[in-house]
Amino acid sequence: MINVKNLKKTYRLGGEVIRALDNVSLEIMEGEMVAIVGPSGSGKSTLMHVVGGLDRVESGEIRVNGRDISLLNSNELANYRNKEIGFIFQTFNLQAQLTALENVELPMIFSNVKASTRKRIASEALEKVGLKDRLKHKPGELSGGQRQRVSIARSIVNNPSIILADEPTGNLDSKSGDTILKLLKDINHDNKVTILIVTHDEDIASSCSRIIKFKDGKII
Amino acid sequence: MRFRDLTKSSFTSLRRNKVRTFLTSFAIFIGVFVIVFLISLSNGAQKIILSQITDNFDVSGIIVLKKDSLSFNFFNPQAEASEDDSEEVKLLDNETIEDIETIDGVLSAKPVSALNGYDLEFEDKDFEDRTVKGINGVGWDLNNEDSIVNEILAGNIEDLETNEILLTKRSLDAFGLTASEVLNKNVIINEGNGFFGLSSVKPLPSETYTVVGVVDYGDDGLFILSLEESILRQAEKNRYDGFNDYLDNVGYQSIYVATNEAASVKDIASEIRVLGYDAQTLEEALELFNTFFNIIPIIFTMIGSIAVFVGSIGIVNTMVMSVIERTKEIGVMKAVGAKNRNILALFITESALIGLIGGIFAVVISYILMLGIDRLLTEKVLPDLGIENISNIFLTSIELVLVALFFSTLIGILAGIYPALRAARLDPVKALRYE
Repeated sequence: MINVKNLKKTYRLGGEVIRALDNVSLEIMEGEMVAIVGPSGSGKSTLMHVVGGLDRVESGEIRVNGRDISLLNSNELANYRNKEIGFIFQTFNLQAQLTALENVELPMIFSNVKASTRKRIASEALEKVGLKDRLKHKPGELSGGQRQRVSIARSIVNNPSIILADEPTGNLDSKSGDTILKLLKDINHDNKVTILIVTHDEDIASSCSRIIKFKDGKII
Repeated sequence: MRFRDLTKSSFTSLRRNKVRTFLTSFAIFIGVFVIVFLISLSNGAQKIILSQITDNFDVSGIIVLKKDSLSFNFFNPQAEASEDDSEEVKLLDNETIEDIETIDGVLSAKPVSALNGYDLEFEDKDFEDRTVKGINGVGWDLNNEDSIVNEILAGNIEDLETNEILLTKRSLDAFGLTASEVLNKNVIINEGNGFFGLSSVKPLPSETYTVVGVVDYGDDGLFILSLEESILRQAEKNRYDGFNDYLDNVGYQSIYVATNEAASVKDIASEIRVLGYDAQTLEEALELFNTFFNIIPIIFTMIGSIAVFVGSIGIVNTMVMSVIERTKEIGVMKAVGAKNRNILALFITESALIGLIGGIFAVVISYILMLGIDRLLTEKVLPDLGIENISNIFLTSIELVLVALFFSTLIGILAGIYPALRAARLDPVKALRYE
């Protein structure tokens, strides 16, 4: 399902060359829920960005559902992110001026879903994450946990095959963190969505089906 | 991305920063306002002046002059430039009149002499203002059915004797008298001796004429003498031996040609020019006038465009700021599947809206202002000055409004290109990390 081979990517940071991905190869099966752990700057976020089609590698192959996405042009990549990937960020990354409902609608705006259908799907997704009564609230009027639930709803509305969550509980108290983790597990279980979670949290890592450890751009 | 979502999203982000949006479109507003307001004023002025001219002057007449290579024809600069200067100047005589009268569409051709710089004084001492000085008259033989004659206000205008004079409606205004008051009164005419008496002409003694009629007609002469009398005066003044001697040597000063319709005036005038004379028409004079009023809007547009240009720099600045502020937002949109062209379209639409808002304000406010000024002037100021019949000063058109809106939107689009490209080309990973 996700099959990456010999990924290489380097950064230049203040004159120093950092190997973000140093010959990384790995395989993730459909429906797996995988934790990616490792110290800061070890390359785990870069792997997420590369698999999510946000960033490009210098060499290597990224096969997702049989297709090598490193060969796609920028429009095809945008389409790929839109249809096959759902992103969840540590800082939620919701649009402050939009309501919860509108935030969840956003991916569907870029796939030309008409407004009435969009509203229906978005409300269903918000209902699923337990925010049925918060549709018209703006992110500023929601708690951290609620915001992250909005962003989970946003990540699932286009029925992606992969959800990439970058420290989804990093900014949350443990109770909210548990809710988020449970939601992700439900989505993984109910919808057969493959989930990659970058995390520092031991509890989260241990509740995943597999743990991949990163250090200095390599899997250890 | 659907068009509705595009505009809705752009409006949302413009509303987010209302003050900035307003200030940015204000510069566009100023420029477009200047253009719309001043062009409407110029169009209105053109219409008013044009209607004043065509209502009060004779548009179906042609003035024929002998060709004089030394004088520049103000009304028709091209007419002479194309002719051969060495050609002998043809005098205006009775043969000329016969030639002109054979042209299709010509009703009549009448010799005319201008009588310039005359002083008129009523013999009757009862009149309060019985003298007007330095006025111009015309010597010619009018007929009742001449098209230049609008109305005979008193007496008779045909077959004037040499000691008879006609006054015009304009001269009544100058004296402040009515037609019946002046009829059959005697008027003493004094001819000025040229500037400071330096002229070579022979001074004529004062002479008395009887007012036999008053006419309202389409020429600016204040009095009318018979053609014969006016030629005799010219002959004596310039030391020629009577009527025929003067005609043989000098000819008529000009010939007034009446035509059957205003539309054929231009063609007839050019036929007269082919005969070797100079012909002036009001219509051709108005062409120059119209050319002038066609240039004015261009100048106003250029002035307004300077403001619009400055405004467009403001839009670029605002949009660049907006892109920087929304870097993270752009990153999120890209992460959830926005294509580069979606981002481009979003920011171009936003920028176009800033321009359009400025344009709409300009149109609305100039419209309100025009209505207000029109009402003030036409209902209060102008009537107080004694000017009636002017319904509006400004003349605006739906085309002008549409062009103004299109123009302001276009400026917005052009100003948005650079910031929008910057937004579209943002690297999504860097954009997401931006704080």
